[in-house]
Amino acid sequence: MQSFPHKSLLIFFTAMGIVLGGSLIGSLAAVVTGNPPLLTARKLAEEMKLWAVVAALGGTFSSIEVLGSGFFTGQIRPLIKQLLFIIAGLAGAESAKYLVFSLTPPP
Amino acid sequence: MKSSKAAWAALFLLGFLVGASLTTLQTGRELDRLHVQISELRGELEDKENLINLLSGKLSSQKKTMIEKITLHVILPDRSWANHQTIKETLEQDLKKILNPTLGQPIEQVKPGLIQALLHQRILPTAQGNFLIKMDWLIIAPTLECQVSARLE
Repeated sequence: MQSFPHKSLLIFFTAMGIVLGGSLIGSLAAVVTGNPPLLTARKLAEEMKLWAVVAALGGTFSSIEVLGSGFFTGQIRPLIKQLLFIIAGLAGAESAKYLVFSLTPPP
Repeated sequence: MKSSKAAWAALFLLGFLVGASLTTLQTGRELDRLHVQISELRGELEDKENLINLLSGKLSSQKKTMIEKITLHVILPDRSWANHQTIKETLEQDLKKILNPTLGQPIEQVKPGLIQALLHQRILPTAQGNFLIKMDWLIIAPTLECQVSARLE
């Protein structure tokens, strides 16, 4: 079983990789189809942020299940852990978005 | 051996994707700028086209009606000459020559009095002799139409 910091880091970098890779490689399609590539990269980074968090957490269902059970059975520890995982994912996705936005300034 | 080849192929593909992404990042700004410029130019073109359509519409509504054709009816006296038709044609041609300056002129600028002064009581020489012209009627329209009676002097 992975420790909490390991899993948090895994979620953080997974979310970051999804946004970074998705937007940068996705913008290649814009070059081929004759659309502005940097604008496309920025749009993709913005749109993929939440999906990246969800994918990095490994699907929303288990997280929501843990949140639900923790909330209704009064177990605060798993609830806080899940919340922190979500925050780690959001932080990774947001950092990647920041990187993409810094690399692709508007003309 | 086989897995090594696959690893090289994967590495190549990865390198291709990374290279393409970096190239896009490097040239992307210029491409984006060109796209923005294209959309601006398209907008300008649309504006100019609208302006041209508006102006051409105004121009065609302001276009003046001009005299485009002259039709003459020459009535000769009830007397048969051998060269009746030739005289008629000669008179018509002479009268057309007199009226030719009105061609291409706006209708409003053509003065009926001036045409009457040009044609009425005018003497035109032909092979048969001199003919005195009397203007019967005149229509000033894109086709200027005039009927004259010719009498041998």
